[in-house]
Amino acid sequence: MKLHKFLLFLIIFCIFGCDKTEENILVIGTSADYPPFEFFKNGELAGFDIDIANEIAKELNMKAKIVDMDFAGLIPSLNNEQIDMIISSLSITEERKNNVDFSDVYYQGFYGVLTKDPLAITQESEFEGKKIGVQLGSTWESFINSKKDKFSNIEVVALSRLGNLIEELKIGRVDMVIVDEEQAYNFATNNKDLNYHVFDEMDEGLAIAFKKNSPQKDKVNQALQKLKHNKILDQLKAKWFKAA
Amino acid sequence: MNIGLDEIKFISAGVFVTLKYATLSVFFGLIFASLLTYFAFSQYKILNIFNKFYVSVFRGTPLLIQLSLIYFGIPSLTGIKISAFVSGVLAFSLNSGAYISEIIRAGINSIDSGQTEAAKTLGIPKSLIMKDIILPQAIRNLIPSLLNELIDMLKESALVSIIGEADLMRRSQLVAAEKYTYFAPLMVSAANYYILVMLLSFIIKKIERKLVK
Repeated sequence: MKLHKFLLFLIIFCIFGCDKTEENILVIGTSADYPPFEFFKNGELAGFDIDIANEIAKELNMKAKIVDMDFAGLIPSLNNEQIDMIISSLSITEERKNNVDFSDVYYQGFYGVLTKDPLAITQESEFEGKKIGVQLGSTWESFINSKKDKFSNIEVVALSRLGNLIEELKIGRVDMVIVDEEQAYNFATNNKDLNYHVFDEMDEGLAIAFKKNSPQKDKVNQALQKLKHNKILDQLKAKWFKAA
Repeated sequence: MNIGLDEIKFISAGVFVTLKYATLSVFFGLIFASLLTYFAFSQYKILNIFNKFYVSVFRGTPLLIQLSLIYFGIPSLTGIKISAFVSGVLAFSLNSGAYISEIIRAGINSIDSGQTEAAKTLGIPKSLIMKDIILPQAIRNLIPSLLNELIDMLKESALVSIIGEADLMRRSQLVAAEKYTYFAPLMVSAANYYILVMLLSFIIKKIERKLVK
């Protein structure tokens, strides 16, 4: 029967299609659409987080296999054990803490505000009456929501893609966008009609995420400590960040 | 515009990923669909019901949800890790199987029932009526619709970008992020889709003309 052959083929196809996890490979998930933290440079994964991931794997004597996927797919993939950890400019939030464990903070940045020329916002009081764009699920979303009570009239617009948010800003559907200082600097230098200002206040910091109760968390924290101690972390910051 | 030839090449390489998903899905979809059509015309009630249920489920829910359920659901329910590639092809072919089976069913129903009756009076067995009389005519009618399904799949396969396959759509988003510009990369991937679909339509027209002759 032809049908039997097809079914057999299908089963074989499925079995060989399944990922085989090897002991010595650290599978790291990232969403490479956030330069200079993680992005594709000439078709290759690159960035601050990518370098950190590779350094950590080196410390653990493991081989890093970094896989790119959509940001929204990262935590589900982690909990399915399709990846071992996430390094993707992930900020620590209370909701995420319910689903994953976080490493120590490896990066903290000031926040920047992007506006469309000629508008420029340099003081927090100027947020009043503005439509404020933030990336959905980012540290800046919880950041602005915690400040909401200080103002009588602000509207927060949360979108999942930063690129869409910048387009909204250019069209005028939002008045300002809150991003990391690095992002603010890069968007403003690449889009001539955007202004930016960096504020003197930091976010809660970025961390690596693990599945709940993962044994790898402590090992990675030790590796991070070592990278801080021998200044590799500082070197990587100098390599990737221009705004500071 | 600050995207150059390298970026255009990078995005355009996604054509092969997109094509791979679309053709494999329609291929396996065709296999599922044949099985489903067999069920639809079976004399066993239970198989008819299964076919109706299957088609209604896969046509009644968004493909995006089916894909997410397969990619994220199967591993958490069964512990079997399936790769993005397998879950993508599986979701798309299960889905396109439902649509194709409807296409085949319509193709078979489009053959005048007088032919079946005439064959019956001649004493031709039921299985042979289907195989030698109905199907050869039906298949001729449904080849254009099948190729249209391929075109649909080509565009719908953009959904694999959510599970991390670097297809045309995802590649344009990656370049958009890298270059801090939005429209140009999207235009490049749109142009790629358009050229691909136009090529396929051209082929469909040729085949249609041959079939009419």
